[in-house]
Amino acid sequence: MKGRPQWIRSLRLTAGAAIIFCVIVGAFLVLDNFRGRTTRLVDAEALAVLRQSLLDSPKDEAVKESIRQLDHELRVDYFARQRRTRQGAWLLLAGAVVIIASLSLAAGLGASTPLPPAHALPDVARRASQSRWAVAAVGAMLLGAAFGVARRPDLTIPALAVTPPGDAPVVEVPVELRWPRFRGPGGLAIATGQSTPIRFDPGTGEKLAWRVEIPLTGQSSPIVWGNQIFVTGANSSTRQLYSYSLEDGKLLWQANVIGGARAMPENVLADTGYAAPTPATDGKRVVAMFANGDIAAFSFQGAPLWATNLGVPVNIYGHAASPILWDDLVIVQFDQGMDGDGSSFLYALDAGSGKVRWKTPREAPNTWSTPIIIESGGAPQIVSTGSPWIVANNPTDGAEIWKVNLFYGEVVTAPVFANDLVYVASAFAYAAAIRPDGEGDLTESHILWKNDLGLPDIVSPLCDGERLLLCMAGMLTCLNAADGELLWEHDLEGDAWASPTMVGDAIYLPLKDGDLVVFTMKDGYEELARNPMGEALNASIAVAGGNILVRGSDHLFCFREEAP
Amino acid sequence: MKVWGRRCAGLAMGLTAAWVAAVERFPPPDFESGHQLPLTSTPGARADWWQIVDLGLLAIGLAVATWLVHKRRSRKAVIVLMLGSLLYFGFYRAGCICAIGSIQNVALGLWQPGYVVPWTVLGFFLLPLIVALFWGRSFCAGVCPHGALQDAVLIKPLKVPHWLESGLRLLPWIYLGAAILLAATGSAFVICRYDPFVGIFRLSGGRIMIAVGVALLVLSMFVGRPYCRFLCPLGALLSLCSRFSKWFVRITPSECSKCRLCEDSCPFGAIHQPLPERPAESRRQARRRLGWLVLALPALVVLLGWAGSRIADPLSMYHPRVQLAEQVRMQAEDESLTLTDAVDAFYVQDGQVDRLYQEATAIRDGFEKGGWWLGGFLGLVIGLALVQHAMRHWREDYEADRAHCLACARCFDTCPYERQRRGLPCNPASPETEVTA
Repeated sequence: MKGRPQWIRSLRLTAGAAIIFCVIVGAFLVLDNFRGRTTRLVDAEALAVLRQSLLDSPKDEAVKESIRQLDHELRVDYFARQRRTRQGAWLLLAGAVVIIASLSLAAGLGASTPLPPAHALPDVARRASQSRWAVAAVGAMLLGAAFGVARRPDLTIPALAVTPPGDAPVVEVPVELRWPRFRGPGGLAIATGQSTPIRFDPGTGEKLAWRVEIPLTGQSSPIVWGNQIFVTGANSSTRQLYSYSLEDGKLLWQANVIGGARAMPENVLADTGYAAPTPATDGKRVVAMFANGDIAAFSFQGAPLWATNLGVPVNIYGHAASPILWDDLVIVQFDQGMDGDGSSFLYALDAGSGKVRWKTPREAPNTWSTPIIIESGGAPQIVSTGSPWIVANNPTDGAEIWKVNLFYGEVVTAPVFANDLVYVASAFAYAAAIRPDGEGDLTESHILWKNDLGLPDIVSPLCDGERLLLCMAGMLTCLNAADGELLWEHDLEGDAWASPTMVGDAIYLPLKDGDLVVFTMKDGYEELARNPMGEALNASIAVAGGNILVRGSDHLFCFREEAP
Repeated sequence: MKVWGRRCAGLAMGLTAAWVAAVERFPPPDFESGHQLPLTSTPGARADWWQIVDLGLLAIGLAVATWLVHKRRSRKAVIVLMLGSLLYFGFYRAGCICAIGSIQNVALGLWQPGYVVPWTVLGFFLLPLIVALFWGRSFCAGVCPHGALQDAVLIKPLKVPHWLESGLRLLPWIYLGAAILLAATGSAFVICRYDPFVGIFRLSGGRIMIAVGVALLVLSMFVGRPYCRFLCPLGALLSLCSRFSKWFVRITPSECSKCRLCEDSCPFGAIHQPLPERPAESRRQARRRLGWLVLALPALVVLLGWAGSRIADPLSMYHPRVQLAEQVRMQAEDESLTLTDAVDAFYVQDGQVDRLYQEATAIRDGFEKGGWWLGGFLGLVIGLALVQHAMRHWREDYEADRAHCLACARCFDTCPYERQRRGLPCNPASPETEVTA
């Protein structure tokens, strides 16, 4: 106990010495820091003068050597200063530890047993009153600061001159420049009034307008609105929407889609990929969807409008159904899971906000088909295929209008509409023509004809009003659209996953091996051309303004008649 | 004038951010020298097992702190734990990963669907709060490196007047609200950007960052843990959880003898004194005041909500896209302005002005909504604080303030019963002496 005062004095002396030490080190660091600022490499005046001299006489070796030398000296100085700063910081820290430890120990040794305070207990009411005023003062200061900011126009940023994305008007473009969804207008895969090339070859450049590499792969097809092409690509970690110029193939913008999926689907086959759904547009915005259930809308300038996630689809091959747009609604056939588990829905999202307007349960396991919107009796219907039901829903509220029990197993093909009839065809089931003018279960009453010829597993049918074209594993089957009678068959000798598209009389069908076959079906099969693209083709083509847009495994090609 | 004002405001914000985050630029040599410039690389993610170690140490630290405070009741042991945490989470882990900053990750994860909060970050956010719900602020006691650093330098604590303390205790809520708004909009992680101590932990940083950190440490020598009490946003959340804690720090291991020995022992102003059953003012007057304040609460929420929406514009300038859009607009209006690097890069890489403006407008709309929420939230906090200070309390004993006690264990040693329990000498004048006599 007797030695305590000496100990305390020694500790305080130690702290004092450490304080002096820290002050000296600190002063040195500050001075060194300021000196360093005057000799920084980036703004050393001497170096700038020498550089100017070199510009005046570029071949002056002496100036070059001087610059080298000065440059070297400044760099050496820089690293030396960095080292000194680091060492100084450690010394300061050590000094601070000594100060704190000494003073704390001194305080501990000097501490006496606690004594009750000499002052009286405070007036509780007065203290509470003071506290209220203090809290009120903070509130008043907050309000004052906000008022101050609000009253200062120089702190108010003027509105940026843009049209609110949600209220964007339709970008008016000629009809022939619209290919707004999977398989074009109405999902019919028919383009009229356009002159497109029949023979083309990217290898020789014949009719090739341009070719661009798409950053990320995808099985989705391109769509077009005006001079803009939209196409998606994705891998397991990134999902992207690209916009290219129809004129020259220039990438106008690309945007990442982040819809908020908390996981990636487990069963996405490489054959399906993460970007199988084709984007869609209504002329106001573009909507893109991906295998993880992420769906997002973008303006034509690429600004994100909204993004959401419908849940990670439980799909044995990976989600592939494309979204479609109708009257400010985004319709998504979201079939997943197993038969009877109640996890499949037909969604209608608000195209302006992405919020769910309605969703209707579907009695279907996972499917891969895209619905179409038809008009029957003056009223719109969403017609979708599934197993076992072909269903029509009212797009305004999702209510079921009619259904037909026809399919079985895995359903990939989309329906088509012609002659006021819905044509459907799927493997292991039937090809059929259905009258969509009834209500309820129309299985027994509204099937005009059905047969089991040439049933396709992946390729959607094509109907020109007189003929229904089916394709199964490269085998083309043409039926009479009126009664389903077989007209002709032809083996393409090449498998196809993409669906056929008709321009005038010519039908374009991309084959998996990279050939794009062009043929007519009017008077039997007549091959017009077999155009090698040089890479695998799994996406359907898009047609706009006389351009044929072909998506290969790596590239997007554009062919047109007047191409160089 | 307006244009200059806006420019200055934008420049000031940009400069502040740039100054704090400044790293000295170092150009490559002017001449070919055969030296291979290393490729720019970013550090890889911390290995999973190291993340488990971090989280495990946090959990162990919380458990040990809780045991030391509630069972062992040892200030010295708390100091040892505190120093260990300071060394590991502070100097070794360089202040990152950090429970305080994790608030922003969680906010971003909740409002930005594309961002998934890493599980370790979620653990660092939730564990201190869960522990606080049951045992009070054990995290502040011995695990938080920020608190440990300030506690370590506390040499001569001065008492902050009660009224000032009451006002300053609102600041963490303001900071919390602003930080959540800025993180949720994807603008900035301001808690990390303006962390005063991370520069000290790393022995490196911007000059202002270091200067603020050192100044705060000097202040901490005389004012107990100023950052924890008057700024820390996690402290605000912990104080809320701690209010409802099931088991809380007890100053005395036995019954309180009201000896007043502990009264001035807390450097954080977190000891409640006994309050008389019948205070001086009339019950009717107090009730009327309380009634008015409760009625004023919704008005405060709306008023401050509106005020929050008014500051949305300046706040939105924290978002890099809004900053860029503003710079692009100013440059487009006045072509004599020199292009900033950001604008230059924008035109080189993208140049879609309309798209940028749409994005910036959407972000600013989000800020306006967020401003309403922020203001309303602060109105609620202030209103509830007013109501709390208008309520009549009755307390028999000296008690730790559930919300603001940092569980540092300093007060234990002043209690005569505690001293008796541990065989320490007691003050002869204290009632405890009579007890032992």
